[in-house]
Amino acid sequence: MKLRILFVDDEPHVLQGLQRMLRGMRDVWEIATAASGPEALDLLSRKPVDVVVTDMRMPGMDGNQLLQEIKNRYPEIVRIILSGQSDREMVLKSVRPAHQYLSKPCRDEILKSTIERSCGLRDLLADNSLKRLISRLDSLPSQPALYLEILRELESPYSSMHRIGEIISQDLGMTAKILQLVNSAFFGFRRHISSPAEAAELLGLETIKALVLSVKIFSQLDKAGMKVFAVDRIWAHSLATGVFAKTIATAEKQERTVIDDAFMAGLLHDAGKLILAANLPQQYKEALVAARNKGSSDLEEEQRAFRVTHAEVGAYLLALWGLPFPIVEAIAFHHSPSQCPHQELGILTAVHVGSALELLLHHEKDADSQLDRKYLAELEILHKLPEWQALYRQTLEEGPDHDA
Amino acid sequence: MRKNAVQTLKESEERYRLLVSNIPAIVFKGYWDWGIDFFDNKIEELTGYGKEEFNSRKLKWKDVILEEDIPNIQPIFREGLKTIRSYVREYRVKARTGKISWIQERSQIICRPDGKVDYISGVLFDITERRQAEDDLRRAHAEIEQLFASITSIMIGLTASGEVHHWNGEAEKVLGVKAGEALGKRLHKIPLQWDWAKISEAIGECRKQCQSVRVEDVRFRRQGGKDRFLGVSISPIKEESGEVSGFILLGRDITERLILEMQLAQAQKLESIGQLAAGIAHEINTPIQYVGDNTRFLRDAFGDLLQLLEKHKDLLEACKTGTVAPTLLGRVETASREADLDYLVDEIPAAISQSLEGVERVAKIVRAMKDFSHPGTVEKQAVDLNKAIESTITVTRNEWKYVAEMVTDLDPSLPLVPCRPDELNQVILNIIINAAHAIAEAVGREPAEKGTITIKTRRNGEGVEILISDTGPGIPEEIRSRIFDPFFTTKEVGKGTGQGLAISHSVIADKHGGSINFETTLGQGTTFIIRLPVETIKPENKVSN
Ligand SMILES: [Fe+2]
Ligand SMILES: [Fe+2]
Repeated sequence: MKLRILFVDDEPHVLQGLQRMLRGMRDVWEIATAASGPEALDLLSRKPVDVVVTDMRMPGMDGNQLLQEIKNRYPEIVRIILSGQSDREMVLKSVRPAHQYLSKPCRDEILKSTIERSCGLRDLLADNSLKRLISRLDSLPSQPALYLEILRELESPYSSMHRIGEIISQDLGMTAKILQLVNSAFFGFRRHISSPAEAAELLGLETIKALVLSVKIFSQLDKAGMKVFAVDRIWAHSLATGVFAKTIATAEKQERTVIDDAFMAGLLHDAGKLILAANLPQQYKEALVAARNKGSSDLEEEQRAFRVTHAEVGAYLLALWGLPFPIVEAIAFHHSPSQCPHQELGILTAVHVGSALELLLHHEKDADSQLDRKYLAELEILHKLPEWQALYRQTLEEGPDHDA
Repeated sequence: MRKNAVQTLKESEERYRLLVSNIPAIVFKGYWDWGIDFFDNKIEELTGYGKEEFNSRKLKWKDVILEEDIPNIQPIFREGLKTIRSYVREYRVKARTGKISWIQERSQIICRPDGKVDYISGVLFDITERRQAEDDLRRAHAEIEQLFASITSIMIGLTASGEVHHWNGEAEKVLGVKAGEALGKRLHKIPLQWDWAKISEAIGECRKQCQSVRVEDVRFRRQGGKDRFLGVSISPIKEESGEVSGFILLGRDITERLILEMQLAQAQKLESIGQLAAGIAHEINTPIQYVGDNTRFLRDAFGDLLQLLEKHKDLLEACKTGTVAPTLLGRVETASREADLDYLVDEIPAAISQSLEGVERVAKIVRAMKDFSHPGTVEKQAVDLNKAIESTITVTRNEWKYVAEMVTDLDPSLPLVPCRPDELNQVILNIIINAAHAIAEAVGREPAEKGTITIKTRRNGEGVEILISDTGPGIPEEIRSRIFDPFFTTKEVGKGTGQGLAISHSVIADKHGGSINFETTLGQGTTFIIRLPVETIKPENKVSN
């Protein structure tokens, strides 16, 4: 099926230009246009659309209002802003309703790849209600202790950028959100981000303050009734996997960007678990209890309950948020790397092995503790596992160094 | 006969006494030993001692003279004795009451045949009042001297014909010209590089109006120095007849002040440019977006056409050989369909014309930005106000286009107006932005129904007028009197310095000699009216007097 994209702009020349420029995509994309917010809403009420790309400032209804409305009415639609506006206040307001932000003038490759990647995983999620749920999320829950700590740090008159970077890079939720903001052009960057701390630094103290304190891009998990999910363990395992993945990538003498991405992908790989626990606690709990009772795997039960596993759920959200493709791919395939189209030693390898070995280290058995031996054998790295384990233990003894 | 003689003498003495008592002075006869005789009792009015007290020698004249004055007056007597046997001297006497009076004594020394002093015949005048007046005058002079000395301004006195008769220390210091080089010369002959024409013009004006004239920004350059600026006030010195008998020029080196003012104006300009930058970026980014998209389309379309052309070439070849296979025709038709030829034929010209239009839009914005941010100059230039307004409308477009339509009614016959273009642009910008904010207040930030900003220019007598109207809510009664005050703002904290209108007022009124007012009706809108004089720009170096 063709991807249906709706462009909204009050400047007719922009719409015509986009249509002409995207003519080459006519076999795969179906393009509609609207000259205003109300016109777009009217069109959406008559015709399903997968992606909306809207201008920011338009008379009558601005892009933020339009996306907010779409988020309420049609949450499954991917929401992208394409704006020439650099008014910081408006950009801050768009952080919640928009999945991604592109700035005019925007090159055709960037526009195309942004749309493609944000929808790349849409066929992974067969369940439309789950898609709607994930598309509506604008934050991932943070660990309460870290959340309080970052509030305290930001409210202090002596806020330290270094300290803030440190806090963010320990938390899955904060890291995901910050990476969304810097990977998209919300605040005007488009470059490789080496770490959550660097992302925070790029945004700058004032922007982070505004984002956290007024826009409230971070949220803290309400832990009541969450015991069964052992959320603290999810966070701890995430951070540890990040460190482990980075250790493996370093040991394998991967490029700097791969090592960086391995850490971030490791930290984020189980984002799906957090999404399910925080948003569908009843169903997720039943699935986990069923797995325990039946002795089946968590993944099987997740698959039964949601028709996908936490891997796809997490990957879907982070793809929507525009995180770099290699990270999204590593998250999507972290249980079954052999199904990934790219069979090479890299970020995915590091995350898959890191996650599994970290659990084995704690003698925990769960979905992630299953090593894909076929994949490891094909890459001829099975024999390296003990070596990596030793290196990881050594790293832990040397103390945390996950934000370097 | 004898009785007659006695009678005659008596009558003569009587007449003499009458005469003496009538003259407004005290007649006396004095002696070598300070003894003194008086002939009437006017001495009592002066000293409080009766004439008998002197005539009986109970008191000598020396007894009432202030002791400290005696050493001063004795030599005068001796000098008189040596020479013309008369003298005039002034000294103080102390009355019985202690009151001090100034006396002028005019005396003749009468000598015996042997040359010794016989007696002194003289008169005493009470000159206390005159001395008082003299003292006051002297004090006043001293005060004026001190005042002049303490003036830290340049002070130059000119005669009616324009010659320098006064050139103070500050003038020497600031202008680097010694008083000696200036005194007695006409101003323009003084060895100094300065904007003489401006001063000359102002002196002419001052003479004509018979009142003070102020000139700002008189450029001058000291020997070997950089250009600096004087602010000069020229005041006429008026005779009682009303005629101007000269001029006083008070001046000051205002270079530092001008620099500060320029920095403040610069800061406000930067503030509004910062505010504009986001809007201008948007204005430029939008056309660049579609110029880019159209150009990419043209690139792709050309590729498609080229492929089609290949097919047509094959067809042409086939035609030449005379055997056109039906399959070839089919291939050409398919290729035409695939290339979507109809679409390309429609869209390519549109893509080209829209691209050109976009490029023109960007060019227009860039030109307007260049005009708008014209580097500041201290001196005025002849400015086409209509063009300045159009540039400012273009650079501020993003600020108003979402809330208002812009209507202009610019008088094409408007004369060039001498002003500082950057400052004037700033004023127009401030008022346009205010108008947009006012309208946004009335209709909301993203309204369905926009308001209107109307800008008019027109001649008005000797000057020109710029009228900027909005359809905002009007200015509430209670703040009308304050809107030009510095730091007065109705905008939220952090939205600008609140200096826009205050600076506008200062620019128009103080620097351009114009006026800025407004008319407002609650619920209907506000019109700002800027009036600027169109003085003819005079040729340089014209000497007026
Ligand atoms: Fe997992
Ligand atoms: Fe895991």
